Amino acid sequence: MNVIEVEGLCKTFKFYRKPQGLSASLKNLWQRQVEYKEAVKDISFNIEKGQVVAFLGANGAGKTTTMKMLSGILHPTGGKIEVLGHTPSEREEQFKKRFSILMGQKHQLWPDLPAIDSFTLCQRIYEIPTPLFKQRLARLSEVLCVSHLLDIQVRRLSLGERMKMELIAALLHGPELLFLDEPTIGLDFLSQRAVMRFLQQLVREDNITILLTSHNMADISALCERVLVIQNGQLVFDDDITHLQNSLGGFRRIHIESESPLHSDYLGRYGKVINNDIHRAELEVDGGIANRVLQQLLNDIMVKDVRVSTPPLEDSLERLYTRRGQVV
Amino acid sequence: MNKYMWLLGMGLQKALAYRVNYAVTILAAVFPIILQWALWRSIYGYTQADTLYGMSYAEMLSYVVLAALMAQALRTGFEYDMAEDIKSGGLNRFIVQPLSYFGYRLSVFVGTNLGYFVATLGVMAIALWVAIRYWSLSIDIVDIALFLLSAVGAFFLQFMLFYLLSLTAFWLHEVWALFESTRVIGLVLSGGVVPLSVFGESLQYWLSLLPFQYLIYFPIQTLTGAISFEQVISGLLIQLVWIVVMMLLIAAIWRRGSRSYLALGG
Repeated sequence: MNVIEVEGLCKTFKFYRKPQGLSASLKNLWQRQVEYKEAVKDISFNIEKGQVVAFLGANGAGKTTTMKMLSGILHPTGGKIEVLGHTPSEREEQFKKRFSILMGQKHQLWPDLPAIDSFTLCQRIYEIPTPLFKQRLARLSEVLCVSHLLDIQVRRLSLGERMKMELIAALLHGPELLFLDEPTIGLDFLSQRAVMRFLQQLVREDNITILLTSHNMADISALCERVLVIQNGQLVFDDDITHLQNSLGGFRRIHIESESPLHSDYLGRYGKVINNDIHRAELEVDGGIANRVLQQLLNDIMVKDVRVSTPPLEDSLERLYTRRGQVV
Repeated sequence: MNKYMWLLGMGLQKALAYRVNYAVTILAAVFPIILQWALWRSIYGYTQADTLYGMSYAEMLSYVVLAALMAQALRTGFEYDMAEDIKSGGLNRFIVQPLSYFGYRLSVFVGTNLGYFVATLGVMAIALWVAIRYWSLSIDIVDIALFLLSAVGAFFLQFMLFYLLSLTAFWLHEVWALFESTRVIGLVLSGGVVPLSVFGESLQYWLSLLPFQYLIYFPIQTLTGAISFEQVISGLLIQLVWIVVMMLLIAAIWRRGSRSYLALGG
């Protein structure tokens, strides 16, 4: 069953340009340069129930815009969206009760009140029956280890604690679908992992669907099975996370340590030299010829140690991000 | 308990927390009242007239004192929060949650201002007692009841007016000047400074086509018995019509505004 169905989605923004300086400001008073930006161009995809999908792209690629259209905050300029059987831009109450959106930089908790007061407000807004509310709150705050912080003013909490509280607020009404826009932004390593572990547990136990944007590759490889990559408003990749690397040529990295000095000229014949400090080098080669190159190297040089790895996810993404408007 | 009633309670709690702030604003209102008193005393003294603009000295004095207090009872402040919500993306929350923004603002406004409103009406009762006792103003008990009705109408009309005004933030980037000038002009046009009869008949006719006079001039006229029962009833009806017209306008503008709304940030 598809939870999200998107077909031919477009969004165009109108904006004004103002060159630097006072004279330009004065000129802008009666004549403004109107420009249009196609933030999202003809995107189509489906997401099934229970899937955890990463939504990736460089800054300004159109991720947040798409997410805002999926949640009904923005009206699409063109195309069709169906989320949980509703059209988001109609903003029906029944639809709003079934999903949650959490933006790492936007908060819904009232900073001057303890979190518990904001949670009570959530209870009222979503009309959650009190026993269910208490049960959910107890479970969520226990799993996230914040039970002892519920009655402290939110502004006095640390960033990580606040983010956990935001997560609780987003989950109290038991959404089937969760949009997470950079949920771990600004969090330290420990808090990031705690949040990710919690989300994993949530997916396992409650079978909820998650669409997540993040710049943190650890988040993505820990949680997501499928990746959507958006580049300049266009969907350039939509597949399993393991295929992301293969589809981009399936590069391998060969790390060599040797007794004799290594020459970049020599290594460069087989592939791209990532770094070389004479006795230790890293070479990136095409996946298809990795075996042959390895044999050749073992023949030619006094190899002390050798190791083959797949390049980090970031590298594959960098290739995708810098490739312009080309669909994989 | 309904979510909007709960929000109303939250607003009331907030108002109670700021009660010292409220006392200060009431005290601040005393200053212009003293100024007006001195002004009208010298005007009536200089002209030696029994009535000016159809009002005796006692009536004029009662009017300006009651009008100044009424203006206090109707004070707002949510328009800045609203403009901020619209400009910086705070509206997102309301769009994705099953909570109407209009309902939210109205409940919080009623909750916050209910305390102020009732307290100011209390102060007005004292002023009224002074007016009856020392300035020989005669007041009918029916007029007081009708006044309370028109004051409630004025309360909601004021909310609609400023809510409508705040919606301009969808298109304007800086709204501060607009809010302040509307507040000042509105105060004059609604009769919060001097009775509208001072402006002369032709101007008064044009003002009667605007909603402003139903905020202060009309309720105070009702209270002091300056207009007939029939006029009061038709005034109350017009006030109600204005509230409904404003609500329809708000709904229409909200639809257009939220379409062009750019959810900024995040």
